[in-house]
Amino acid sequence: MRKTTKGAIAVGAGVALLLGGAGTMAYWTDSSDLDSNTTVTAGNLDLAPVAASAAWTWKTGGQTFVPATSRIVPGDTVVFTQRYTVTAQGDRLKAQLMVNGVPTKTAHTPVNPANVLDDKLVLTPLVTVVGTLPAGVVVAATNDSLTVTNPGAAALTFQVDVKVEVEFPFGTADAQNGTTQSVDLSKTTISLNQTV
Amino acid sequence: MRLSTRAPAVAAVAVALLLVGSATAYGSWARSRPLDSNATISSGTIGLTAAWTSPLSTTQMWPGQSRVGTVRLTHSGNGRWNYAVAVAASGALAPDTTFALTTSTGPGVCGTTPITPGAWSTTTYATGTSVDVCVTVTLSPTAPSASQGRPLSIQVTGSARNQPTY
Repeated sequence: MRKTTKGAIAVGAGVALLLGGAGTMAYWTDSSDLDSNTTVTAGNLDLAPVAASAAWTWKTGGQTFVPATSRIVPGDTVVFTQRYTVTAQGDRLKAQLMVNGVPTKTAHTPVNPANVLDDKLVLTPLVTVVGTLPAGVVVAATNDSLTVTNPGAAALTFQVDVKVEVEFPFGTADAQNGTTQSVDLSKTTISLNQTV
Repeated sequence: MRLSTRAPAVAAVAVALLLVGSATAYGSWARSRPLDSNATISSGTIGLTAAWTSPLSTTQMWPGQSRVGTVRLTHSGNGRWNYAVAVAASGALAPDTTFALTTSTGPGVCGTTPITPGAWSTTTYATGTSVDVCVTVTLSPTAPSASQGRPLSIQVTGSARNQPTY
């Protein structure tokens, strides 16, 4: 075979290979928008105290308790009451009212366990809905907590009275331990927490 | 060359997906409010004083004789209270004596309601009030002659226990 013929065959094979390679890299695409109505909007969850609605009382008798001057003894329970406006919005929102992150009766978490009063106090949340109970709002019978379930797309607004009972339990004789002590409960939180 | 440029791109996408995944898994709403800015709770105190308002004299007693004294218990501090009273006697004459505790119905007037020594009163009293307790000591009618001139020492102990304020 002549050299020119061999060269022509080699070039032809190379072109064929190149053409074959280019063919394997070809692909098709098509695009379409997701939907013409694709704006997604978040709901809302809020707990706002009603102005001038906070009050302290003695649980028994209902007399006014003045934290600055009143003094509690073992066996006493004082009650803090505050009215809140709850806003809940979300087709499938679930939320629960909690005190210090716990919905049920719980011992106060002492900041200073050496403080007997701090160590002994027990805080219990109680919730009362003001007026007619809106649809989707449940006051759980087991723990007196508030549960908001599926309030809906429109904002659901209602008011609740939240009571936090602060109990200094009466127990066994303990001499004078725990007298003249103070506990700052201002860091105690009342919160509406989203749940699953 | 193509691998070296793709690898960083793939890694960046993976990190982005991880970040998005974390935000989705841990996101939730919570709205917290502090209990009250004026929420310092303070405990009170309890105090008790005991004093003879009508001293109990045990000198020159004879067999069968009773003497009465009145002790006033006064509460101080916070909350309501109740009390307990106990009597202890010592000295050579103690075995020949008996004691009775009763409530006082007025200054110098003893009632008939007995008080069990060491038992807490069933009545709860207001903050800062006082209670009078009558202490009666009786020398046994059968006390022997040898008991004459023997000493007797009496210790009355009053205790207060706090009760809820209301």
